[in-house]
Amino acid sequence: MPSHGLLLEAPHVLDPVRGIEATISEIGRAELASALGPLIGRLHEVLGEAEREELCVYGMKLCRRLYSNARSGDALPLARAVLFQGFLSRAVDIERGASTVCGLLAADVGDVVEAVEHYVNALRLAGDDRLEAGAVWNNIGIAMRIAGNYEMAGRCYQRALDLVRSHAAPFYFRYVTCVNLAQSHFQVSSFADGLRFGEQALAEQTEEFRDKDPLVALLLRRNLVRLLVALGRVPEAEAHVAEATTLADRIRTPRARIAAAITRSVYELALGQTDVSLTRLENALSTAREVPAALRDTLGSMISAEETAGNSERALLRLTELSDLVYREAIEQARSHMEFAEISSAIPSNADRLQEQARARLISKRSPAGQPEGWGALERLAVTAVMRTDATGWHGKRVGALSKALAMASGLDPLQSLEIGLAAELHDIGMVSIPEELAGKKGALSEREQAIVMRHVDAGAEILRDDRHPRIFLAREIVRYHHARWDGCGYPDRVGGKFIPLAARICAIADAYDELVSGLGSRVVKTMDEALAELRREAGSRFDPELVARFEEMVRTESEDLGVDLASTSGMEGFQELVNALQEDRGFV
Amino acid sequence: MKATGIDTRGRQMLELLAEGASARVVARKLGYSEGTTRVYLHNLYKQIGVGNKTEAVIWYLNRSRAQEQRPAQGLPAPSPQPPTIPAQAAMSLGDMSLAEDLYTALGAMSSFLGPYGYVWEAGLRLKGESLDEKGVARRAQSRLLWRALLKGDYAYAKLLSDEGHAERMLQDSPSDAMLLACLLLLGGYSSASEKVVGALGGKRKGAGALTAREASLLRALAEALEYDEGGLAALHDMAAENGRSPVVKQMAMASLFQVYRSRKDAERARSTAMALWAEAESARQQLDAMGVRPLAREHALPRPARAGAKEPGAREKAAVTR
Repeated sequence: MPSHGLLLEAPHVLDPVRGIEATISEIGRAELASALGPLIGRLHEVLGEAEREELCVYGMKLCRRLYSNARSGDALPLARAVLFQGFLSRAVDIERGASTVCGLLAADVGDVVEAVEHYVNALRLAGDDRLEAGAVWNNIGIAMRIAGNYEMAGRCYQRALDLVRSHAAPFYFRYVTCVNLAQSHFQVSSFADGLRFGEQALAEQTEEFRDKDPLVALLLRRNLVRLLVALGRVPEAEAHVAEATTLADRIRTPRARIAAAITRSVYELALGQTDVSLTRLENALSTAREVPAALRDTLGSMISAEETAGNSERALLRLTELSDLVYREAIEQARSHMEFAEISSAIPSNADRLQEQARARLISKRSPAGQPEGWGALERLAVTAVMRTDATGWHGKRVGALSKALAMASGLDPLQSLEIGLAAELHDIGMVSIPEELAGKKGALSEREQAIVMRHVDAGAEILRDDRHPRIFLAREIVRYHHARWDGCGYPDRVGGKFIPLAARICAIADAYDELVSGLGSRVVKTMDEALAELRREAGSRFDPELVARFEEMVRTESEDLGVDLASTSGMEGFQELVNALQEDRGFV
Repeated sequence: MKATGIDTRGRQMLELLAEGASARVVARKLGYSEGTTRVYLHNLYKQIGVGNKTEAVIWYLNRSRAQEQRPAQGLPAPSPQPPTIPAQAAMSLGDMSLAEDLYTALGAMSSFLGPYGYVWEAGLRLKGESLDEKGVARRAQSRLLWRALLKGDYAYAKLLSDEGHAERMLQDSPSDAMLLACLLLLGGYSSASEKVVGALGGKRKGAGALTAREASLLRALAEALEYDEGGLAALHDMAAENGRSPVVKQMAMASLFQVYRSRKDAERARSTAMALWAEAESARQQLDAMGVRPLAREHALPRPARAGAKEPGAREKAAVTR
């Protein structure tokens, strides 16, 4: 640890952190937070240049260390503090660096929305610097991949690549981006394109690059093997398999061993050596149980291997295991996400907090109405959850706007309607618990798969378990019952008719309408008129017939007002206009 | 009318104006030349402190009603029309809004109505948003316009549009532009209102454009002011509509009140005012259910600082001493 002269000037700020530096991977969350407290507090003040530089550089370094120790959530408040300091002192370099770090950390804890917000800020600060902008786009792609939207991720990588196209070869960043692109193209089944990028990456790879991060090189080989096998060019894959094994022997981490095993098993499966391949995967899986980061990928490979081998029963068994895993992880992540949101919202300086508390006390004396605590975090989580299927992430918002209008049209008070609309934005929050393989799957699902998807209502209800605020309670009812059918054939519990909470009945109609018009869930895009007809057909069986009539009336009058033609505008165009009009604040609720 | 020092000529002119006469008609009836009449009218406006004919008529109608309700003065003021207010109902909100104006009659309840009112404020808090400086300014402007509509203060709108604020409102806030257009129409400022309505009509799409509902409110209002019964019926339908944005409905109600009032249809104007009160009351109850109570009755009457400490007999003693 370097002992700077500055240490004497501000010993109280960094001392506690330096004290725990050695044990940073195993120290408790509360202890870590209290050690970081003084540093974070100091970063919220106006600092001299030298001290600012020292603290910011140290803070960022610490964030990176926490990130690689899988403690992103704990690092986030610190990264935000550095960002704030950069903003405060108008130090563009610090601000940009901190934005990127914030984005990385936020994406790592599953808050893709916040991550993208930070990256957008970084992008703005990058200005004309193509290299910086490219790096940011690459990071956005990674965030999209975490959200489970590979198509979007691919587009972001492509953008990053376009920005550095003219850079002289060999160029490490371009190499990494190509590896990412090959991966995302594989996930969306455009194998030929994927192979093209994989080969480009291989051409760009040098000895130095390979030694810099051997795991990336290994992943590249794995991608190449998968792509070649998928294209039926099995013999060409052999060299890559051998190379992957060599690399894994050199790295000697469990993660590398698993990746190499997957690579080899894919190849063997293609050669028809089913038993060898499955046994190899079996072994990899037992290793992966010790390495949480690799478990999802391994299970995914296992499922497709069993499917290829024709063991559909066993594939389903693995799928159930995978979905259990994802379910548990999602709930856990959502919970810690909420905790972080509460911690970090409490961090800004003491004076602010006292003032805030005083204000809260005053308000609570007179009027309890207001936003529930942690609502922002829930909203972001919901956006992340729908991003798998809807690249814009606006599905929730649109359903919220439609629900509000329908509630108002069915005679509820404006404020009640507003609450229903806000709560309905969360209706698909439970989708975080569904493996990407299923959430983004095109075509019909098998019965077992459907059963897994159905569980998203339970997951959502569990995430919203703390109903300390009426709106959270409302949101939980919506989440739980928005797939219940009027005739009682839906899930869960076969609730039907007026036993379904009104808010959930309202949301069900809005949800279905949005899916029909925007073509979510790989449906055919319908015009607004056709979608209304579809709703009408299912009134009385799936939907509350009275509400469907109200909904149709609402959509018709509102679009007539806007001059939107229901019959001719297909897809989002006129629909988006309608939703915008419903959301607009003109001094009305 | 002695108190205000209006002479007979002034009163005669006001009477004629209240019946809807133009300057030319006034000149013919009173036997002056048109130019002289204009000078007299101008002096009269200055004397009673108004800016134009409409305001003068409103001033006069308010005055004459107030006189009617004060029999103690015993002034047999020549009324422009037979008294329309039955004595036993003279204290109702509807009467008060006819005698004074809607704003005075509704009092604090008017804050529950119109754009950016209490309901909107509660909604903002539910959404977890807060107002920035610009939002505060826009809100204040909207509330002023809304108040002007309730008061029948059309001159305010004319002033705003003369000073060139109309363009800014068209840009910033469609609801404000909409209110401005209503006010100008009601005030009979035909050229100014044409300009605003035209500009609003020109914007068909995007943020800042009127919705068809607002546009048809304007159209209905314009027709109703031309004594078109179809327009009046349309305005009434909008004021009675449920299940959509209540604010447009309230704008329609307030406009309807002013139209009935200008037509001297006291009965209907009174009922409209009462309906607006009921609307405000329902908004108040909604807010109450959400726990927002701007007019809560929970505050106890404070005791005087010294009287509280004394024993109950103190007052009696004081009485005896006296």
